[in-house]
Order: sequence, then structure tokens, then C-alpha cells
Amino acid sequence: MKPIAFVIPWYGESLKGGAEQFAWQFSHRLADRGYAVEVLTTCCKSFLEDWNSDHLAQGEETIAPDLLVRRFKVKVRSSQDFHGANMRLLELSTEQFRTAGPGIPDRDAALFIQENIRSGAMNEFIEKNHDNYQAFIFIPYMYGTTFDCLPIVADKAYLHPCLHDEVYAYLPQVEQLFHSARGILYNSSGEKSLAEALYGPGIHNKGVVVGGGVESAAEDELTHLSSIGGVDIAEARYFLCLGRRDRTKNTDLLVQAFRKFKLSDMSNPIRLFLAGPGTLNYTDESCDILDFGLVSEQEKESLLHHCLALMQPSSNESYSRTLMEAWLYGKPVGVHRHCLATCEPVEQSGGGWIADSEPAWVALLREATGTDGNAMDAMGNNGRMYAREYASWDAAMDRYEKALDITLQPSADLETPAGRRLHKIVQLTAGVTYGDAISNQAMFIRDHLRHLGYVSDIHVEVLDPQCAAEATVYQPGLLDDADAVIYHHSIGSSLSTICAEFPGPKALIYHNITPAHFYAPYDQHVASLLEDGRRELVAMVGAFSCLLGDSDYNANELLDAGAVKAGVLPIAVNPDAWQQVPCQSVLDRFGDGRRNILFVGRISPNKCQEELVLAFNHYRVLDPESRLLLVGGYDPEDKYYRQMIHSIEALGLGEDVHVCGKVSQQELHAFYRCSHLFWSMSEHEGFGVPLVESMWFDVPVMAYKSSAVPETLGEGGILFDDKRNLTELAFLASRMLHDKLLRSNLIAGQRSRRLDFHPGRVQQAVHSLVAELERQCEAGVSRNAV
Amino acid sequence: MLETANNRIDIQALDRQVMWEAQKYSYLWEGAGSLSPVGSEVPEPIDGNIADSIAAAAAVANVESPHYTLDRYKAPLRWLARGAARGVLYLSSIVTHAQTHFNYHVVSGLDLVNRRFERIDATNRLHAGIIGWLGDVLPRVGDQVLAIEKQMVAVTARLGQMDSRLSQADKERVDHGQELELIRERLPRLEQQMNAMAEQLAQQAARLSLLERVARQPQVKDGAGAGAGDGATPVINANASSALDGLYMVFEDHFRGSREQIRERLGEYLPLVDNYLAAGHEEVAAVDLGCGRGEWLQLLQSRGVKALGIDSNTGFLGQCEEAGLDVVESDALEYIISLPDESVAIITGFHIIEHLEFAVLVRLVDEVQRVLCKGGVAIFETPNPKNLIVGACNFYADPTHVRQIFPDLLEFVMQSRGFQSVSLRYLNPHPQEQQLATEEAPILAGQLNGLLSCARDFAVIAYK
Repeated sequence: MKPIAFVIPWYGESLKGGAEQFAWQFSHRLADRGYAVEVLTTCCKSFLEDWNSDHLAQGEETIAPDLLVRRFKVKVRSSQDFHGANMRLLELSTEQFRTAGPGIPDRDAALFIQENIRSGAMNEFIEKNHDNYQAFIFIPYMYGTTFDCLPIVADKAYLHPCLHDEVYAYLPQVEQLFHSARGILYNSSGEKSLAEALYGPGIHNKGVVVGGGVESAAEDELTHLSSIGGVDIAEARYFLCLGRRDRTKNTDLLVQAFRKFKLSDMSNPIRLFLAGPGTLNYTDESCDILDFGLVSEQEKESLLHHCLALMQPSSNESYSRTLMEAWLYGKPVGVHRHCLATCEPVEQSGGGWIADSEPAWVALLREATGTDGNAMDAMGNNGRMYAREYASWDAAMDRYEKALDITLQPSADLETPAGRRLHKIVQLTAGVTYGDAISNQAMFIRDHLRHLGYVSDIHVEVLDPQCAAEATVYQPGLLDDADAVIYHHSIGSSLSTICAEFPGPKALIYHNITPAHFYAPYDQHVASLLEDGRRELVAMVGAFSCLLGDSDYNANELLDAGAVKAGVLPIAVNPDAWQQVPCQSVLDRFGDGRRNILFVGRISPNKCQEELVLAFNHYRVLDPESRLLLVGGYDPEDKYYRQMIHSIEALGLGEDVHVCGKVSQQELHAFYRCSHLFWSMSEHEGFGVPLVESMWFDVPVMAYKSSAVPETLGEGGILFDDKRNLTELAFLASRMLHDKLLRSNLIAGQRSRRLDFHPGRVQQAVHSLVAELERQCEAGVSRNAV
Repeated sequence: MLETANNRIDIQALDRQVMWEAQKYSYLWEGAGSLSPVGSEVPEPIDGNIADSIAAAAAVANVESPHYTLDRYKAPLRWLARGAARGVLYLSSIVTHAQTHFNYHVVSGLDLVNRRFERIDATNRLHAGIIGWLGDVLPRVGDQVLAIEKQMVAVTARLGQMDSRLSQADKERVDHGQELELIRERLPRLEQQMNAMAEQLAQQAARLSLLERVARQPQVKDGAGAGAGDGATPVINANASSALDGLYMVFEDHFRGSREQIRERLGEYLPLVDNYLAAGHEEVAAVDLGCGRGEWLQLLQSRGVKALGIDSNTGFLGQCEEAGLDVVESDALEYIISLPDESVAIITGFHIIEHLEFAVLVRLVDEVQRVLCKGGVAIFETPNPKNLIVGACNFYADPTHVRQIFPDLLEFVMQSRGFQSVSLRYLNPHPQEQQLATEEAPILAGQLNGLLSCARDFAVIAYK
């Protein structure tokens, strides 16, 4: 196998810094496992040195069997410009970026990247020799070496970003890196969540949480000290805070909270011990706080061994080593809610407590003190099991290896239907239009059929020019060489009789016909088409033996129409669809901190956008700064559309309600990114793809309970069954927008539900469909049968 | 109603919260449907009255209608002028028609804009109100916080002081504790010594009073008093020696109870005395057999009844005499025998009959029946053997107890010996804290209490 290359500006065993340590460890351990590993780095010695100097010799050096280091001379650049830009960047607070709004000043961003540490020689080398390498791992994300070289080898580039919630993460060029890389390797699940929050769900499928390893003396028979500097630590009851002590690590917050806690409970003998490098000393005898300062390794291990629990108040970590160390000792931990890297492991494992503000930390300390020994042990044990999984080098390296081979196609085993008789399976649908759910589903099925080895095409009655490559207009005779047909039925169409009469194996996928009564007041023509479609359905049901719906709701309509049995083939919603940089103009316009309420769907009477406008008008009293974004195509002459526009104007909402029309994928991506709530008043949905898309963007959903909406939402979102009490709806919306705990619980449920529509899961249903068609073929339902 | 399948969310609590907020804050939407501001105030004009201006503009928006007056012209000229005017207007309507429309659109647009501004003003006022309120409240809150912080500092200082005082007090307490220990060790010994001394004293006192008696009385009853060898009149304390009197006195104090307690218990019977007195009898004489320390005698004295106490314990007799009570040293039965018929109204014997053999008891009952006046009352109180603890255990505390009397037996004896309306009274049950607890097994405890904690004494009250 060709060698794997690590690309990092500095490389050395004793270098401080998480990324440098990871690079050292992972490269060595991969080499230990027998892979050929190379490290491409500069001649600069370390992060702290002058980036324009070459301290080390250029050239190759084999530092271990299978481990070769190549050093390249740095490119001299203007450190003054760089530092200037860097200073200005650091002054910006990340708070202002959370809204995915107008970002970093372009000039500073450009300077930061241009004048970053890089090596021209390395760039040339990679351009010339990239074919000789199996894969490239870029670590971390914000240095010139990554910016320059990753795009060159994007199709075999893996990014190991060591991402924090810091200013650099918001550079647009960084987002591009994430989208371009083939795979992304994360230190913790919190880091992955942060990346998806910053860059959208498009990177979900290609990210893998690898974790890291933590060496711990917990299992060793090391003699743990029982006193340090005259202070007895074996008998003392104390909480421990390890690591660099300074304001960015929130040490102040912890100390203040501990003081307040002590004041409220002076008889409690519990103490707070701190240890680690840093210039500030927090010792305060009156409140039982003792700061040991910098301690030796053995002293640190002893402190961990004897403590009751570890407190890690930092909100700025991508991977917390001390957290894992404490857990390997079986001690529970207290962490900060805003630091996903520490908060998620605690949530997932139940190995500690979480707090954010100072009063919350006081309450956390009180709860921790009040927890009895058994409960503490149980929590510590939960943490220990998690740490053994995610802080063990062996487990991490296993995942690393797997990650470098990842294909990111869903791993469900392909049950290739046995005894395959069919060769060409064709799909027919009334029309294929850009951005339409049915069209996308047809394309998904077609792609998967082709993946299974079938020849498969889509034929339509009406073809959107934008999708010209995806389908062909039906001509008589196109079905002559087709072995099986899948018909997507959603509205009256001439294709339906053609399919019904097809003699070979066939299946009908019913995408729901909007009940005609919605359109009756607005468009008689469409209403009658819909009625025709419904009548046709009854006829169709008789003609097909394999009947499927997008949802149980649709399947039930099939049964009502006379079907004997009906299956379900959910619509696949693939986060890979969002692998593009979102439209910046949309982000600039709407991502400015004002609350955005979103609804995606064609402007139509059954989706009730006008009612949504009225409800939004009501909500506006509580939040005059909010906006309603209506994304979805419309016909300007359509009566319902005009009625809605009239309402908007009559209420004077022209500035706050935006009817955006049909948008591109990039624009839609941006809309989801800058929205805070998805609000549906729709009274009829056959499936509701935007509901699932919202879940991928962590946008909480509130929806009127109708048709297939509850089924699609599953455990995500909140449903209401009364849409007339606008005041209550307004307060619900207000809660869903502002209550952080509610939002995080909602998002947790949505994150779980959205996976049910991942292509990997839906594929099983496609296989069943194919198997059914094959079975029909075997049963003699052949086009050649007389 | 809200629903969710997400079990991390308490959807019912959320539903209630939303409904409550909707009700509480529904006033925010009053007037919001119409375009008048919250509070229904008329908006102040910014510069002049915009509404008036718009109205005025609307009035002349129609370019096609005549606005001038032709009235100053005389009639025929007026019609001519009007016709001409109409013609001109008609012709010019080619141009003015559009102008009119334009005017109307502009006016209505302005009207909309005006309404918009009115709403904005209203919202601003609302916000200003809120900000004003916040501005008022926040400084106060800030002050309070400062005050509290100052207090906290003071409290901490005080706590520090108290800490040191407490540790001082602790030390002292330890010292005191040690001293107490020493004292405690010595106490039992002191008690023992005191008890021994008390006993000796009592004995000395008994001896002294015996000596005094002997000195006072000229003769001792030789013939009739020798009692011990005379088989006809059995005496009660056949083997009582005066040496034991002293012990018995101390014993009484120790086991029976204090004088005050006995007086209280005996007060139970005072109503009987009161009833007898109230019946109008004169010359009421009472005899208390075995009067002991004289508690009953004192009670009778308080009722103005002439009472005589009989006892053979010289010590007790001495005490009674010192208390100014009439007492006679004699064997109880002997004394009763010596009394004439129907000469005493009230005869009592508290805790004497358990010292008698049954035959002696019956003889005593007969004599009492003879001596009592018509309508007189006899009361005998004795330990109740139906209380098993008394019967099986406590009875034996007094070495001079001879036998227990079964209550119903005594009642039967009294009735068969001629007493009228004989009744039993059960007295002096165990106090609540000595009874068995009834929480766990109420029925059983109740039954056991009935056997173990019931009346420790009983009395028979009989009338002649």
C-alpha cells in the first residue's frame, strides 16, 4: 500500500499543543501498526518560534521504522501583516458569528490566510507526487499548509481539524475546506456537533469521531502520594480542577461559584484544590480553596486518585484530556454546557454534571456535595466505561484505520436479491422538477437500482429543463425493453394508464394526492385534476399488486382505496445534498441576529401559508424584530398566492415576511442555516421532506398535527392540534425560540429521528421493493406472458 | 393541546405554561387587530395633523369634479358657465382621468404610511414604558445586591468570631465534662452513705419515741395486752418487733410513695365523706385502722371530722402525734373489738387487709359491721391482684404482706356479712408511659395492658 502522509507545520515529540501531540501520536501508532507513514512538515521548530525561520534541516529523516519525516523550508511572508490581521480577528467575539451572519472582514480573513505559515516547496512536492500516496491527513485546520495543500488532493484528503469555537472557525475559507475534504476526523463527538452546527449537515456523513488516547496511571500500582506540600490529600474531601488556570479556561467562574457555595453552607468541610501551570494563584483559606500551582506528574495522579470529583469549567476545548484522566480514575466530572467537547460525553455517558452560568455552577457544586458515595461511584463508573472506549489508544487507532478506508456509503449489507431475473427497471412519474421531493426520491431509487446492477431510467410527462440530464420525456415504445416498472403516482397523468396496462412486474408508489377541497375555492381546474387523480387511484390500486406509500398515512389511503395490503417506502433525505458552501447573500441578508421563522413548501392552499402569515403577525407582538421566511415556488397568477400577498400587505408585514419563491440548493442551505424555527400550519402533507431537512440543520420544528406530519416528525418537533388560538401558538413559538433547554431537548430528539430517513436505512425498503418485483417476475408475471 | 413523541420534553407542563402565558398576556393583543395603538390613545401629530392633511388632499383628489362656485354669476350666465365648464371638464378628462386615479392612489398610499407610523409610535411607547420600568427597578436591584454583599462580608466576619468563641467554649466544655465525670463517680457512694445514715436515724427516732412512751405511760396493759400468748384474740402483727418499725418507716417512704402522693390518692374518697356529712349526720366519728403516716387523718381533719388513728408502729405514731393527730397504739382488731355497737360513722383501712390471714379478715369484717352506725361507710383499699404485675411481683415488695385479696371475694364476704350496697372501685392504673405501646399490635397490646397496666389497687366501699 502506498504511504499515508500527515501534513502539519511543526512536528516533534516535545511540542506542546493538542494538534502537535495528536500528530505525533497518531503518526507513530499508525506506523507501529505496519502502515507506511510519512510526515510532511516545515523546517520551523514550533508554534512559538518565528515562523519565517528554518531551524531544522531540510530533507528526509527516518525517525522510526515505517515513519519518514520530510521537512520543507518555509515561505517567507509578512509576519507583521499576519499579526495585525490575527490581532484584529482575536478581538472579534464569536458571539456575533453564531447567527451565521455577516462574518469576518474579508481583508483580515485574506491576510490571515495569505500570510500564514506555509511552504512553497511543500506545495510543489505534493502537486508533483500526490499520486504516490494513499491518503493525506491535514492537521489542524487553520494553518497555511492545510489551506494550500488540501484542495490539491481533495479526493484523498482527510481533515483532522482539532476544531474549537474560535474566530478562525468562522473563516469562509475554512468552511470550504470542510466541504472539500473526503473525510473528517474528530477528537470528540462535541467537536463533530460543533462542526455540523457551523458548516451544516452536508459534512455529517463524512465525519468520524476517532477520539484519542489518554495515558493514565489509574490502573497502575503507582504509589499515590497521600500528602503534597504538607497538605493531607488522602483524608481530605475535595473537588479538583486541573489544567492551565486562566480566564479563558473559566477558572474564575469555578472559584467564584465555589466561594458562593461555601458561603451558603459554611459547615461543609468540602474543599477545592487547583493544580496546573498559570500565573494566577487562587488560594483562599477562608473558603477552603487551595491552589497547588504547577505539580509533578505523580502529584497530579495522586490528586486525581484521592479527589471526589473533577471540575472542568472550560468552555473552549476540542478534547479534554483531564476529563478522560478523571474518568479513568472513576471520578465523576462537572463540565460547562457551552463546551460541546466536554458536555456531550457527560450527557452520553451520565458520568457527571453540567452547568453554564455562575448560579448553575453553584447549584452543581451543591448537588455534587450532596451526592452519596454509591451514586458518585456509579457516575464515575459510567465515565470510566466511556473513557475506555474513547480515550484508549487502541480503540482510537481502530477507528482511525476504519476512517481512512471509509466509503461513507451506508454500511447496510446489500442483500443482492437472489436469482436475479430482471435487467432493466424503469420509473415513470408525471414530472421531474428541480428541488421536488418526488423527483429526488425517484432519482435516489434510480441511483440505488443502478448501484445494485440494474439498468434504470426515469421517464416523465413533463420535464423541468434544469433536470434535463436526469430523465427523459416519455415516448410510446420506451417501455418495450423494460422488464419492470415503478410508477410514482401523485396527480392525474396520462402515464398512469400506461403503467396500469404494463404487463410485466410493476409497483406503484403513492405520493399522496392533495384532497381537492383545498383547491376548490381557488382553482377549479387543479381541483378537478386532483379529483381525477383520486378516482384514478381506486382504479390503479386494482391494477398493481405491489403498492407502496411514502408513509403509513399514504399507505392507509391506499387501503381505503381498496388495496389489500400496502407497504411503506419512506423518502430518503440525504445530508450529502448540503455539501456546498451556502449562499452568502442570503446569510448576509437574514443572518443578522433577528429571529427567523421558516417554512419551506410550495405556496398552496393545503400548506396554509396565509394562515401562517396571520399567526406570524400575531407572534410579532411578542417579538417585533422577527421575520417569516416563506421559501417555495408559486405562480404569481395563482389566486391563493395573491390572497396571501394581499394579507401580507394589509397587515403591513411587507418588511418582515419574505416570500422567496423557488430557490437554488445553495440558497436553501443558507435559509436553513439562518433560521431558528420551522413552523408549519399545513393541513395536508404526504410526507413533508422539509421537516426532515430542518432536523438535519438542528432547526426545531413546530407543526400542525395533520396527515403525515406526526408520522414524519416521530420524536422530533412539537405538534399542536388547535391552530385557531393564535395567542397560544405565539407563546409556544416564543418558547421554542428562546428556551435553551427546550431547544436542546428538541434538537436531541430530532437528531435521533432524522437518521431514520438516511439513505442507508431507506435502502432496505428499496431492496424489499426490488425483491417483490423479482418475485412477481418469478411468479410468471412477465411481459411475455400471454 | 401540544403533543410530542420526544420523552425528553414534559409536554403537558409546556402546554400548561403556554396556556397560562396566553391568558395572562392576552392584553398585549387588544387593539392590535385594529390599527389604533395599544391603550387606544389618539396619536399625537408630529408636525401638524397628518390625518387632516390627508383628508384634505383626498377631498380634492378628484380632478374631474368642479371645485369652484359659479353662484356669483347671474342665472343665464351661470347655466352657460356650468355647461361650458362641464364641457371643458369632459374634454379634459382624457388627461385628468389618469391624474385622478393617480391622486387617489397617492392619497391612499399616504394613508397607509400614516397608519404604519401610528403603529410604530405605539410600539415605541410600549417599549419606552418597559425600559422606564427597567430603569427604575435595576438601580434598586443593584443597590440591594450591594447591601446584601456588604452584609455577607459582615456575616463572614461574625462567623469567624463565633468560630473562635465556639472553639473556646468547646475547650471549656471538655474541662467541665471531666470534672463532672469525677463528681459522677463519687455520687453513688455518697448516696449509699446517706441512705445508711437515714436508716440509722429512723431507727434511733423509733427507739426514742418508744422510750418516751414507756416513760409517759404508767402501766403497760399486763393482762389484756400480753396478746402474744392469748389465742382468743389473734393480733395482727404477731411478730412485729419495734426494731423493724424503723425499717418499715423508711420502707414506706421508699416504696409506697411520698405523703403528698398518698394524700392525693386518698382524696379519691373524700366525696364519700362529703356525701355522708351532707346527709346531715351529727357527731361524726371516724376511725382509720393502720393509719400509718396519718395522711387520711389529715384529710378528715380538713373536713372537720373527729378522726382517730390506730397503728402499732411506734415510729408512725410518733410522727402522727407530732403532727397533732389523734392516734392510739393498738392492734387494729383488738381496738375494733373494744368499741361499742354502732359507735363509728366512718371506718377505713388503707392497705391493711393484705397483712391479715383470711380468718382474721372475716372476723375484722364482722366487727366493723357491728361497730358502724346505721348508714355508715366502711372503706378498705388493698393491692389489686388482677394486675398481674402487682399480683405476681410488686405485692412481694412488702415483706409484711400476707396474702392478696381477690376483689370479688372481698365484695362477696362484705355482702354476706350484712353490708348494704357493696361496691368495688379500681384505682391507680399504670401511667401512660409505663403501658405497652399500641401502635404495632393494638389489639394484643390492649389485651396485655388490661392485664398488666390496669388498676394497681382496688377498694371496697360498703354501707351498713
